[in-house]
Amino acid sequence: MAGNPRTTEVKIEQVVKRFDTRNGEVVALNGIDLEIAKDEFVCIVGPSGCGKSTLLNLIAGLSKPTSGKVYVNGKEVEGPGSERGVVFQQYALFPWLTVKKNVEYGLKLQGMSRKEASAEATRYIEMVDLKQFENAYPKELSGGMKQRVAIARAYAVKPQVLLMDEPFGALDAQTKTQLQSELIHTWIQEKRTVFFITHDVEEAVTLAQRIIIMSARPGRIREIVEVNLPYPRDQKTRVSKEFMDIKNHIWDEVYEEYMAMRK
Amino acid sequence: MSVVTIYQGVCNVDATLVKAAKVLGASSKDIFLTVVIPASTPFILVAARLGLSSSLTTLIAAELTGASRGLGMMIQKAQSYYDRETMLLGILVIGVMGIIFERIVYYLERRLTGWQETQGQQK
Repeated sequence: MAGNPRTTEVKIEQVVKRFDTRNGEVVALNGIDLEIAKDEFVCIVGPSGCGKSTLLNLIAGLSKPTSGKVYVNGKEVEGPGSERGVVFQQYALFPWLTVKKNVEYGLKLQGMSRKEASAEATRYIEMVDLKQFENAYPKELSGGMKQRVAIARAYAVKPQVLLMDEPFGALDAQTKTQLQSELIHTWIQEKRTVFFITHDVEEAVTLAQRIIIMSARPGRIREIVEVNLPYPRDQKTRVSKEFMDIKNHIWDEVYEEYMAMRK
Repeated sequence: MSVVTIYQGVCNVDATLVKAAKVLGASSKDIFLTVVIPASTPFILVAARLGLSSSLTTLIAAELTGASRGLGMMIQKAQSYYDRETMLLGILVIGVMGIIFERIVYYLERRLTGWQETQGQQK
């Protein structure tokens, strides 16, 4: 993290999460310790089922750890809150609301007046370039557009931490690249702490300052890789030697975990 | 029957939408009012449509057998006096009422559930 001391925004302390299933107990996370600095962009990679989403749900406050603690901004997480925004892979837009009403939703819950909420929503819709679709319903939008609305909705309530659960996983390669650069652009404009889950190693190296590699069940942190490449990371960066080296290294690690899991 | 349909609708509310509302700061009451109700509106309207026809039928049937007023009773009385005009009038009024109710529900369905993704549209 470039040497300068930064405050810790998210602190995960000895977190264990177990689930009771029909086939007995499953340990999803087994002793996770992690600190994420304020305004840091962190990507989590790992084979499916390694507990990435479980960890995100714990930070979001959507579920509780079996043991251990999660702190955001020094306060223990006890439930969901608007200082932690989430972007889901399935977009999760309210289909009965227009684009604008979707973005206004969280603002109104914060007690903003109709006029203020409308102005704020417009600002964020413009930020994701969807001004002309303000009054469209989600069913009229493409996948990429839906995810842009979801990002605008999460950003609008000004969370300190943005949790993203494979947000671009369902998109085609071109849309994905486009949204990645838009996300970085937005993040540089309005810095937030970002916790970004992906299974796409190239995506992780394109976006993150730090990449956390998770090991297969029971989920643990296998390795943390720092990515000291300048932003924005464009197509030229992607073919540079440094980029390739990091990517190959992470890919090897993830693949090893994947194979371990299949056994 | 309506209760079962609406119950099913509430059970089918997408869990991700509830999560999305929670992380945007919604309380349980907010979730009920702004997620559960709109998400189950299509089911509520289906229940209303089914309920409407059966309740109208039941009402008329009850009136035919033993009521002191109402359309069914009017038809029943007219029948015993061989008063065909009144009988037909009663039957027609019942039919028109059914159509009007059906139209109202159809209008509400279009107004309130137009946001639904239907087959043939892009996802």
